[in-house]
Amino acid sequence: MAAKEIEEMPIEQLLAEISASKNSQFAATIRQIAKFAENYLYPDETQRYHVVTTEIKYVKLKESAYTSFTDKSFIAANEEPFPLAAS
Amino acid sequence: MIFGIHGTSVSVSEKINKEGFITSISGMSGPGVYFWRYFNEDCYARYLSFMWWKYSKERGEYNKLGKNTDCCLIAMKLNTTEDKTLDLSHGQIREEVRSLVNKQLKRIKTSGAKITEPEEILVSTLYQLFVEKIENYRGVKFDAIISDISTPKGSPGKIGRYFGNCGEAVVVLNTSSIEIIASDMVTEYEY
Repeated sequence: MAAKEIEEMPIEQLLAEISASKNSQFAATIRQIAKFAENYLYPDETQRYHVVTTEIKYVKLKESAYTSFTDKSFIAANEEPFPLAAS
Repeated sequence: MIFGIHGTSVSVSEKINKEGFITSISGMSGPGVYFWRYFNEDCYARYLSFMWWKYSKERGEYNKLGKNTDCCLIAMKLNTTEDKTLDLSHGQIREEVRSLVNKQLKRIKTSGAKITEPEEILVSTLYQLFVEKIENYRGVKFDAIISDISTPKGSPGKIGRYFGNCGEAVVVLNTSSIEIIASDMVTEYEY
């Protein structure tokens, strides 16, 4: 049933859903990194932000598909607030 | 009960022990944390995990992630229930996913849409989309999926080669369901 639903989607919808799934996973991964940095690693916010952005850059490097994001525009585009101060 | 082993560097394992696992953005069976499934102590999963570490080390994956790039194998128990685990390794469902990915990749490539993502990212996201649709139909969020994936480069090993080039993986989607039960350093592992 799940496969049939995907197969019957118009191509525009399929591409949009792929993009949404990919972006939501990217956001989830970055939030995990941020949460760990916040909870366990660095009590100082500036330092935390530095750690998170460094990790984001590493993730981007590894996953070339995400190179179109910039850190701040990505953070700003998220529906849920990013758990760290973004400045 | 589901058990799995993850091969990584010592420095990364220290980070994992302190902070927990972080899901990947993509993977052969979609995003998640990948473990080789095991059922007993003398396990093929340890060998595959070791070979995964070896392959990753050769590619320089651990260079930016700490000083100690030696091998560490992390064993985990998955705290979940049967209804929260999706088994994609069975023949019929595996065929369904393979057919879906094949057809949709062709459709995307011939659509004329400007696609910048590498093929492996598209395949990974198609997997993810498929799993999300099943979650919607069943009204459940899966903790993990079970999937057969290719063994790492250099495997399947002297004995393993008689059993095909796939191993059973546990792809964990909900990292809070992972309970680390052992971590040990390994210098060589034959199978």
